Amino acid sequence: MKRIVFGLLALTSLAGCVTVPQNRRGKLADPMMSLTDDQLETYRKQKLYNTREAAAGGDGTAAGGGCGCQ
Amino acid sequence: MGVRSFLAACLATSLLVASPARAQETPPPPKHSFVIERIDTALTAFQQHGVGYQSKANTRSLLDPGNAALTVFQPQILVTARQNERIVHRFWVPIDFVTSASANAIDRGRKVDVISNSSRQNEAMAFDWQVAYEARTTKRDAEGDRSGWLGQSPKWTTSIRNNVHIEENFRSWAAGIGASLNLADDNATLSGSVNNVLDWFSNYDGLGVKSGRRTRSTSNVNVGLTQILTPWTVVHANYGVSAQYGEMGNTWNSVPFVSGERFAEQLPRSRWRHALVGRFAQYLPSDGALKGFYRYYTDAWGVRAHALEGQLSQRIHPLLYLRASYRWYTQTGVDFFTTLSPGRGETRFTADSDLGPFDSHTAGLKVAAELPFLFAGAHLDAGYERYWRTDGLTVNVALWQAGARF
Repeated sequence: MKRIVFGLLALTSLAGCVTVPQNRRGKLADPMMSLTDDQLETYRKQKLYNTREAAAGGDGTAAGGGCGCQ
Repeated sequence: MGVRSFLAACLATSLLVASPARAQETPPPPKHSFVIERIDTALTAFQQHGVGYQSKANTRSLLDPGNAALTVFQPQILVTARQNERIVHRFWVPIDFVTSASANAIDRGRKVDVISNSSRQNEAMAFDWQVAYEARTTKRDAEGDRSGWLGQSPKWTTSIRNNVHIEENFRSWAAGIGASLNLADDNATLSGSVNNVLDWFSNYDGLGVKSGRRTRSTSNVNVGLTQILTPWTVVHANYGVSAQYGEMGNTWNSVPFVSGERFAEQLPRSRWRHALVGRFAQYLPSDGALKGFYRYYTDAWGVRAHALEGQLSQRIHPLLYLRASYRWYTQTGVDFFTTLSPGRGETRFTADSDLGPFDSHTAGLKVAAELPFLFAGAHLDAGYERYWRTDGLTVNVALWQAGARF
């Protein structure tokens, strides 16, 4: 747990270490560059992986619960 | 439902909802109107094959794993509506039609064989409502001072989410609150959320005899950071911890014993689960994108898991791109996993193949098209994925998505 807390603090300290002007972020706005899947695709993947594998979580939602198949 | 019928339904729905929204564009909408900004729909079909000890369908003896074949048909709709310049609502309804080895016809006054009816059907539906509030801590100023660490206009977003899930013998209520802070002129985003899920469901034994209800709670905390590194690169890290208490099983799973009998699965009453995630997205000179995902997972039941996924997208037309993806996953089993318990007084045992040790692979292809000549922001995606595990389970997935922005 200490390692996790230390790692998160280290990551947080990097926030804003690089600044890219808004007029140079056009490539980042491309739908292909979305870091996470859209909500519908995320649910589709969760349905498969969370019901067929023991691991879950890390995507901003609770690991387990909410469905009779989990 | 055929593909043409599905597309026609999506477009018809879009047309119906688009009309009132467009009607408000002239004259400009008042500040506090309720406008539907976009509608997205998805349709997914899962076809699973394999065997598992949580099923007893088509077995020759009590010691054999049963047929785990099932089909899931999953339509979804997501409506995004803006109440004013700061408040956005998201209404989401996913539905699952499942043929499975689980109970059906429950609560109809008769005994149910919950572990052999592999052809029975189960329906599940959820209603999800999320409200997000966006606020800037200072007014935007094109000539503003950028010297501060927070940048010229740090933006707060807070959100509240409620979700109700209904199955035949299962009810669930989930609530959550989240917040994110955009820093350094939106180059970095700190985010966090807290969620809680309450489940309550009927308690059935392996022969389908009902005896009261069981409950389970899941509490969850997440923190994350997204950082733009270059005009072509962005990275993200997230940590989530979940604590579960209560009944962890479906109450009717059973475990084979060397004596030739089966006894009810025995699981711990709590489970702490940790997940650490890293992501990156890199734009490519070929007008494509490479994305990566890694998750390390560990929990109090002894599971250690790694998931690694890569996605390569390539734009082949200004309105069309292809995506190929591959995911590798490995997990150790829970400490008390067994497919044949020696019966030496163990207090915890499960034969659920999803909790055993295995590796899995997923390979997929997807094509995504933008259709601005139909609606602004209209899109249509189609894809196929195949999931296979080293213990023989396979799942074929066909997916369709369509939507429009108004």
